[in-house]
Amino acid sequence: MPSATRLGSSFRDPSGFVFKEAGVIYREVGRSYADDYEKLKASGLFLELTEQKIFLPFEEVSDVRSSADAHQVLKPVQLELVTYPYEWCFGQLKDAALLTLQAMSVAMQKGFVLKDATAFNVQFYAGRPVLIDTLSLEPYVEGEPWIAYRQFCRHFLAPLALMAYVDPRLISLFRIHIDGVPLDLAAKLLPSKAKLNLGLAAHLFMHAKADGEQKGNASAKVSKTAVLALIDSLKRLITGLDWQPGGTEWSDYYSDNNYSQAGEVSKRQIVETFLQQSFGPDKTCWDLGANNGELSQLALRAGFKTVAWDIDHGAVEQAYRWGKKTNAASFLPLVQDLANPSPGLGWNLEERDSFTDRGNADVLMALALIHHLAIGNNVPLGMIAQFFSSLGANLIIEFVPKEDSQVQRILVARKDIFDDYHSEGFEREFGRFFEIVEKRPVQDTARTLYLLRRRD
Amino acid sequence: MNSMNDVSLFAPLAYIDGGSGSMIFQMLLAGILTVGYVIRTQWTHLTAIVSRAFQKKTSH
Repeated sequence: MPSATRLGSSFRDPSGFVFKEAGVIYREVGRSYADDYEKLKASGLFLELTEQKIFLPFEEVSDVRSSADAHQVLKPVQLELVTYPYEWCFGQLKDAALLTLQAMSVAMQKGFVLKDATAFNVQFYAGRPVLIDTLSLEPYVEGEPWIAYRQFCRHFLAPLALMAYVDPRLISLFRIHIDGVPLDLAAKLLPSKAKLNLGLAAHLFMHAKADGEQKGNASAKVSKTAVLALIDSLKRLITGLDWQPGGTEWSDYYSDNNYSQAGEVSKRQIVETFLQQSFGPDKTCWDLGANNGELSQLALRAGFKTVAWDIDHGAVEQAYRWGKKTNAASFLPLVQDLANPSPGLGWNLEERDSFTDRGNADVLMALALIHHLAIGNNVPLGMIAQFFSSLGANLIIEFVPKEDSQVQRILVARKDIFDDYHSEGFEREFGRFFEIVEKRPVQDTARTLYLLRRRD
Repeated sequence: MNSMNDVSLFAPLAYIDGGSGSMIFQMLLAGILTVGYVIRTQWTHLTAIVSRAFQKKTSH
């Protein structure tokens, strides 16, 4: 396979692997999986799962070189952005869990099962979760238990229970435990009242105890009805888990900020103008510090494929719910701490790409963000400019000066050590990485909006 | 009848580790859940039949 590059994340399943050639993602079906693949095709299951939007659609291709072991090469619909469970809000992980169980139910009706149930097999496409691993299915063998049951509980049930009962930020445990949250750890972290939920008592607490015991081989069998009962129980349990995004750090921001109505209108008009100046077909916009995505919607309406990143789970949850309600297919809200963004993870640090590895937006928006990074996190302006220039080609950025009440609020309990934090310092430092295309003051405020273009 | 050690039903060709303790737990739990699942699905089936019959009767 001289010209194709096997992805660093694709090595666990011997049935095949994912590779990239000329910037396009393909999946090789290996010879060891050939029989299962042909059975799946003949059953009509692939068609049904893609028609029901459970699996990402793909086509067979014959003009792409792969390895000598290839039975078939598949070209899936190309994703705009690969995301990971530790970047999802509660609703996204819950929808991904229910989708996985739905796939299992549909597969079993046709005599197949999911042989793995990792959350990393789910991606967001056109505003909704889809399964991407075509090789995850195999024929069902009467009497066998669901091999992926423990993996499902670690990847979905344990983090969802922790988010619902303790705090949504506990999804970040996925960053440490790449094969899902260990059940014994989840059982220790959950409050006692979680044991009153019968589903959690069984699938998580009792399961955690049993999971710690090595039993060797056993001769018991599980009927097909029993596997369906297990799936049905997990579905009802996960459907019942809930988390409401009230009262988090930023979820009330737009009803609790310092803009006058004129200031708000002015800011929106300037951002819309800058977006129009940067627009082109198939262009992407990353809104950094997007809050609940209210201003990201300006990019969406301007025709950009828009990703709204924010640190706050409540804000991202609100944005996700809005996207679902309005069927916003080109809108994806995600959780991200820009002061400590997702690193490369897993084997050789290549299984999961870092935040910056995935940054190639046409337009970045950083509205009411810079003071949080520069003053809230002590990051020098030049380092912020360099970071932004690694993520996108154009930048719409709002400079919030010290006299602004939001900056004063941050400075209330700390010494002002930020002598270079002023518009001249901002233009000097950002000018090393970007050209200033245009700048406009926001009416009724001391803030300025800039449209910047990255220097080649 | 097989002894506890002579047959493995833990999908020996699976590439992920299902966990032996977890698998045995699954067998026990799935067995218990089956009772409620069968009752619920049969009840749903039964009410659907009754509902259809009632609709036919009222439409005449």
